[in-house]
Amino acid sequence: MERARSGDKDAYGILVTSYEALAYRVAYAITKSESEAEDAAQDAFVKGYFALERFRAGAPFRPWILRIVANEAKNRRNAAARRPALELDAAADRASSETALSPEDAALAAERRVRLLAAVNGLRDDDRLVLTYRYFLDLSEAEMADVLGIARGTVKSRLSRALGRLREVYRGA
Amino acid sequence: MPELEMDDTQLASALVDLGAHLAYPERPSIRTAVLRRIDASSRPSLWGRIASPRRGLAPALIALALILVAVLASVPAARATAQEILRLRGVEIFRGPTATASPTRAPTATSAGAALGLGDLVSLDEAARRLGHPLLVPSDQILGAPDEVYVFSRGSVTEVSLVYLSRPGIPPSPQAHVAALVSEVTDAAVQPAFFAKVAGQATRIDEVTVNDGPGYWLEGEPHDVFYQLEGTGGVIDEQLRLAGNTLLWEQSGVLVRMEAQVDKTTALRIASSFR
Repeated sequence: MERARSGDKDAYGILVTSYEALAYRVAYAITKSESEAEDAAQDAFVKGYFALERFRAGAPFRPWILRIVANEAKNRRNAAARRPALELDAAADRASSETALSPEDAALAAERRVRLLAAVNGLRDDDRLVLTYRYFLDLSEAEMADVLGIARGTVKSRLSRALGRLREVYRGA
Repeated sequence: MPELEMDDTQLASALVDLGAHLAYPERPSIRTAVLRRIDASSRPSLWGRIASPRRGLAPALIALALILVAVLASVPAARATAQEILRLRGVEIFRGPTATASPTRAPTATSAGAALGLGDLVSLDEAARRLGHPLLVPSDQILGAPDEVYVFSRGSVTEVSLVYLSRPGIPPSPQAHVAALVSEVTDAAVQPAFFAKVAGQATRIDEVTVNDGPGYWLEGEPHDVFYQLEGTGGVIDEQLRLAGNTLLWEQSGVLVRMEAQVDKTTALRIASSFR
C-alpha cells in the first residue's frame, strides 16, 4: 500500500494483476477474439497509466479502467476472425455443486445451459453484451453504464429488453 | 417445459448459473508486458505528481491501494468459486490472503480517534444529527458511554465511530490502544456502496442474529476493513482499526460494526444491548 501511495509503478502492476482477468473478459465479450482481447486489455492498461492524472481522486478505479478497455476493444471489433463468444466449461460442470443432483437433474441442468448459451450467443451484440456484463461478469449497473457508455438510468431498460429478447430466442431454440 | 416460462428473475438466475459454467481461454498475465511498455515510454515520475498539490493524485493512489485487496478477492473467477462470500446489506466478506496488521500507531496526546483517523471529534447529539439517524448505543455496562465520538463524511456517506478507550475485561488493541470501536453507517448512505472485509484463512466467520437482524462474527487474524462506493461516491478508506474480533450486524436501518478483543458470547451480549 505504501508503494502505491508513493506512486511506485509496481503498485500499478498490482492493479493490473488485480483487474486483468475481468478486463480481458470484457474485451473478449466485445471482440470475440482471444488475441484482440488481450491486445485491447494491454493497450487499455498502458493508456490507463498515462491517463492517471485525469482519474478523479476518490473515484472507483474498476469502472474507469473497464471503460478504457471497452473502448479499446470496440476499436478492434471488426478486425479479427470471430469464434463463438462464449463456450461452456466442461470442468466447471463436473466441479459444480450439482454433485448433489441426481444424474437426470444434472443432465437437465447441463442441457438447459447449452440451450441458454446458444440463445445468448444468438442475440444481437448489444443485447448479448448487456447480459454478459451483468450476469456473467457481475458488473454493477453503474459499471455497466460506464462500460457501455450509456446513462445509468438506461441500464435497467436495456437489461430488461435484452432479457425479453433472450426469452424469445430461447423459446424458439 | 416449465423453463420455457421463466420470468425475469428465473432467467437471471439461470444466466448467473450459466456464467459460472463458462470457459474462458487460458491466457498469461499481461502485467509484465504492460509495465514494460510503460517503461519504454517517457513519462514524468509519479512523485512529481504527488508532490504537486495541484494534481491531487495522492488521494486516488491511496484509495486504489486500499481497494487492492478487495479487488484480488472480487475478480469473477474468485467469485465463482468462493463459497464463503457472505452478503449483509452493503457488506461483502471475502476470504483472502492473510491480512497483515498495520504498523503500530501510538495514541497521540490529543485523542485515540485522531490517531485512528476517524474524522471530526463531536458530541453524540452532533453525531446523530450528521448521520441523519438516531445513534445506536449499547447499554451493557462493560462498555458504558463512549469516551469519544467521531464523524467522518465523504460524499453521501457518513460514518459515526464510538471509541471506548479502556474497559475492564477488554484488552486494548495493540494497534490503537483502544478497547472497543463501534462504527455506524446508515442504510441509505451505503445503498450504492459495498463494504469489503478481507478475512485471512485463519479467521473464523460465523453467521449470527443480533436483535433480530442478520450479522456476522469474525474472529481470528487481523483484517483490513474498507468500503467502496459505486458510481460517483468514490472510495472510502477504512484503515485497519483494532485488528481484533469484529461483529457486523444490521439494526434499524443502520449497519453496525463493533471491533473489540472479546469472545463471541460477550460480543453478542454487548450487541444485544444496542438501542
